[in-house]
Amino acid sequence: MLLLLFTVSLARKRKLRENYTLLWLFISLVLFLIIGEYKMLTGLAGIFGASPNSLLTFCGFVALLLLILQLSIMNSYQAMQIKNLTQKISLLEQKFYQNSLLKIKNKVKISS
Amino acid sequence: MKQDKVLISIPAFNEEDNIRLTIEKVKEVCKGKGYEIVVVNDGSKDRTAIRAAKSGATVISHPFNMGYGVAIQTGYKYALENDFDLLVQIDADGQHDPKYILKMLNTLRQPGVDGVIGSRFKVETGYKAPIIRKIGMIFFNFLVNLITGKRFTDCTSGYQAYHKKILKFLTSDLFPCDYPDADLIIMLYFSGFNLVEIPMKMQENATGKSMHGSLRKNFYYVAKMCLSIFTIMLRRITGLATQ
Repeated sequence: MLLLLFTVSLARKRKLRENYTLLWLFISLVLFLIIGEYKMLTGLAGIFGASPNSLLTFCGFVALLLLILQLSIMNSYQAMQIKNLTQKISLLEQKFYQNSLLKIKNKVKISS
Repeated sequence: MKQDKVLISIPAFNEEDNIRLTIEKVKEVCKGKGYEIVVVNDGSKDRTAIRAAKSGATVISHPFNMGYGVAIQTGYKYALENDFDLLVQIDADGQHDPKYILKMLNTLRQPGVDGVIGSRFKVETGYKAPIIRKIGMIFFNFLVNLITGKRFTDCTSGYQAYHKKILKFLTSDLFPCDYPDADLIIMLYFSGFNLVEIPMKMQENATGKSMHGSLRKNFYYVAKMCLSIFTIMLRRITGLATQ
């Protein structure tokens, strides 16, 4: 419940983007439901032959792994974008510097 | 006959001690040929950029250090944007002797040749690599030769020359920016490009600096390269585009 409220609060303050907010909201909701519907958790645990607490811990672990994987995918994509942006900026800066030099040379030529 | 527009690309990171001499040597070798020299300053903290500019090179500066692979790709992007026909890439630390530039360009101009690699091991030159690096080189040479069916003797050489037609591939997001070595050769081979090697003598690194300096970096390099080659083969097998 606290996690749910905290996630919504971060989204409200624009500290968490919508696509990440949705994911955290989903995780919070699932946890909320699982803990809320203890009978369902007990039933599920029975199917796997585990205790409800072990199943809950395992689900939490899997959820975190998936979250980390999603963040790694985003990170990889953004690293590529940053690389391309950096190169673009460097090349544009060089072009700008070259053009400025040319303008100065032309001005000097005209004035002389 | 229209003369080829040639770019000499020199990626540099904190090479204020060597950059001036490297540029002077390149200018000496390429005197009167109208080649452009570009130094890609990869976020150096010293006076690399200033010294390169004073020596007459065009300087492109990254706002921060992005790594060797990104720096050489910036050189490729500059070449493509400015319509260069041929590109030669040499290191800024003085290990690559510029006297081989013309030989590399002549080889590149031969029909059917898309890229040239300067090999330290094609003929016996007395070059001695540290033992760990030597083992790595032998292993990756073996892998590349096995996959391509060709005989490469130096898959980690940074002394390379490329034809314009290869630049579009090299400037794409497919380019392995981390450590573009053996995996790049395999990718280029699968994309239908023809790479040849020429023998060359490389100077020993006077400072002993290397981007593969520490044991941790060596392990990372081997692991990364193996994974990169594995994913290239996987893409090939599953039919995912390589170009």
